[in-house]
Amino acid sequence: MGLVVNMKKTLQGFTLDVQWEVEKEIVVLFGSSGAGKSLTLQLIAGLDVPDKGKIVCNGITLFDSSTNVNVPVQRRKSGYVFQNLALFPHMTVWNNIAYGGKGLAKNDLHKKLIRLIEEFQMKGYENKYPNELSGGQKQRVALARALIGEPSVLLLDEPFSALDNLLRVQMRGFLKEIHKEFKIPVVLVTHDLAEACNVADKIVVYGIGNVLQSGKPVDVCKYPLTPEVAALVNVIEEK
Amino acid sequence: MAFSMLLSLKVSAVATIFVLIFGIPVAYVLAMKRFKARELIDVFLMLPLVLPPTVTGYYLVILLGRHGIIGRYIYEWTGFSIMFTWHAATVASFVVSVPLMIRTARAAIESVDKSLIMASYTLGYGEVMTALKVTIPLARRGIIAGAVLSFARAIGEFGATLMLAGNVPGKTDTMPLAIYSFAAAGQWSEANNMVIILTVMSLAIIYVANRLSRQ
Repeated sequence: MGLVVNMKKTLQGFTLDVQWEVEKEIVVLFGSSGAGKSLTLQLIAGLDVPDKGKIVCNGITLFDSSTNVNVPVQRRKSGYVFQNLALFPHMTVWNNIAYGGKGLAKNDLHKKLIRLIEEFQMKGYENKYPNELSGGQKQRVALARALIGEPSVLLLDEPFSALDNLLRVQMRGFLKEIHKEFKIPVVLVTHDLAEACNVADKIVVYGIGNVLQSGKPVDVCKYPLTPEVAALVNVIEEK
Repeated sequence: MAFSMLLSLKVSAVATIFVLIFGIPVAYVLAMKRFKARELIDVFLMLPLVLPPTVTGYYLVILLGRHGIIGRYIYEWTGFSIMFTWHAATVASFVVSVPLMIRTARAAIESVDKSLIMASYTLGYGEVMTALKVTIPLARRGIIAGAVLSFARAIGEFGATLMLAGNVPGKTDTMPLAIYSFAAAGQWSEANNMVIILTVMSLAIIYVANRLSRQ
């Protein structure tokens, strides 16, 4: 069980045509900007519709063009953390996280909120607004909001790119812990190679709209299949 | 004098409530949806800003007058005609001020960060809930500014009101109409007082609108 992605989408002259699958592990989509990594996340979440293909998450078909299945975004249960985090500026930390707990009974929601806020080290900040938080705190609130509804997949669009190095390292560790706890497929988009190698169970290297190579980070870095992959991962070789 | 002031406030307040009820959904649809008739509706809704209010009022008479396209049926069924009532003044104020609301609110809704709306969708909320909990609350500054401008426009409404509601002393003579009557009758001191009151009120409204849109 995990995530199976096989889709094709043409958008303003750009064609995305990718196939890959992961178990309940952390997969990193790695590649230069404009490769279609973010678009892949949007298609998995249901924010946009592929022209053709199939998306299956934990055995549930979310999209299948051959049988006309297209589960609407609201019912896909994907935890999505946007590049700019998309915290609601008019809501407190508490209300931002609670917003993700739609459908939970009031009591459950309250208990979960308290536990998550504790776990995500946001205690004492419940009544603060996003613009009063540091970068790392905003990240944690965005993650908590995405996770409180117990999503079946976690999609992260370069969420750590705006952080300084130390915080980024901390957040990576934090992400690994979260993954152990929630046991769901995590798709992380990045063009930071160190990040990719550090957190990934599996790495999928994107060319412009296609998959160049996928596998364990060590293998991809040591044995790039094409010159393009080699060029993308050569930073590590030099080290 | 006091009657005209209270009437103006009542007419403008009621008109502004309807401006909010009608203007927000229309602004939302124009801001968020792409459909064929969109530009056409947009142009049509801006018309009252450009036309002389007397022309807008003329159309309203054709529409709502006792023999009007719609007014005829209202009169047949209920025996009521809106002409020469404070309701007519309210309708006239609504029509000339609603474009201001739609313009301002639409711009505010369009400027809401799209990723916030998408985030709400991924968290399980449909379009209506997202509009109510995210999009419209985040556009509230523009919506409030639009409402204040609409109220100000309604307070100053003259031409369309004159056409549809007439200038009936003690019934439909809002402040601008009363000023006209005083001046026409040569009652300059009364006209003076009311002009000063209207000017001060307008200044206060503009001040409030500016503060709200800057906050």
